[in-house]
Amino acid sequence: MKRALQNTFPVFCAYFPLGILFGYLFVSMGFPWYLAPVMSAIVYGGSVQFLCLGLIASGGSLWDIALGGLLLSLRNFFYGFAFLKRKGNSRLTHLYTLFGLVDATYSLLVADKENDGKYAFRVNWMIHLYWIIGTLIGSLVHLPSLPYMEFALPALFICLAIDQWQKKPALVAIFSAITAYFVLPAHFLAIATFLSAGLLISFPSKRKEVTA
Amino acid sequence: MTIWIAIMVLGLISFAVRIAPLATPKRFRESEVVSIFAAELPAALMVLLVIQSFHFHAPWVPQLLGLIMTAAVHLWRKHMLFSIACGMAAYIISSQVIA
Repeated sequence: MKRALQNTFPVFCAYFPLGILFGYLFVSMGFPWYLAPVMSAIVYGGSVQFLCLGLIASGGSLWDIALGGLLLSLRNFFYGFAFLKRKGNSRLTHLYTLFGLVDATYSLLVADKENDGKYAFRVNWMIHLYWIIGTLIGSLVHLPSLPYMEFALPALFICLAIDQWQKKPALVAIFSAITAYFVLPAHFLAIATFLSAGLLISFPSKRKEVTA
Repeated sequence: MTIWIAIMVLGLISFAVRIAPLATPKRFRESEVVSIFAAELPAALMVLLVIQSFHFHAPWVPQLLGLIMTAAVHLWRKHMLFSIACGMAAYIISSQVIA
């Protein structure tokens, strides 16, 4: 419990204020406050939720929203493959663990050497809760946004990038990022993820990697 | 359009996409492709997430200094919270100096 709290603290710093911002934007568009935490609970994807608000504001149809949401969340499909084994979880907690694999959760857990299912489940619901409670607070009270907190996420990701560092995937990622930026900057992450996955499969490394 | 419907549809998409790997055939899961996903994709994704979280429309210098500080401290001490705290400090101070 202590380890999970400690390791998720940087994510708390990033997701909690972001949740507050989402909740605030949600009610400022005239939607009932109680639906904001509901959306954070069942959609649980920051970029998808912000995109949805943006599309509604600009008069997008349900189809636009569904398509945008699908494009943005497709990268999550790849996350699950590292967590196919239940590792001490029940069927239900395992399904929940897969559902909860957002960027930060996946990053923290995939870097974890012990790779224990109970711990994964714990990290999952903690981060989910940070997001939901942040949203709830943002939708209920208008708090001033915390300055500089936007840097918590890049800082967390660069630490995890260093922990996970491998030369070839890193170069592939940089190449994909540049390409995706020129092709379709609006869906940068989705395109770059698919491109990276495609390139890594097309040009496999010589040495045999151990499957997780 | 009712927001309810959008929430339900997006929730369904989130859930379906994230549990879909479980529905892939066993042969696919044990294939070379998935072993590459597991072994190399995380490292690529982390780099992508760093790039994605960089705000290209905001001033670059504080972000770059913050990232360099975070990385340097992390390479030195390997303690994530400490690295992030130092990086945040560098980011905040350089933002103040520039503004």
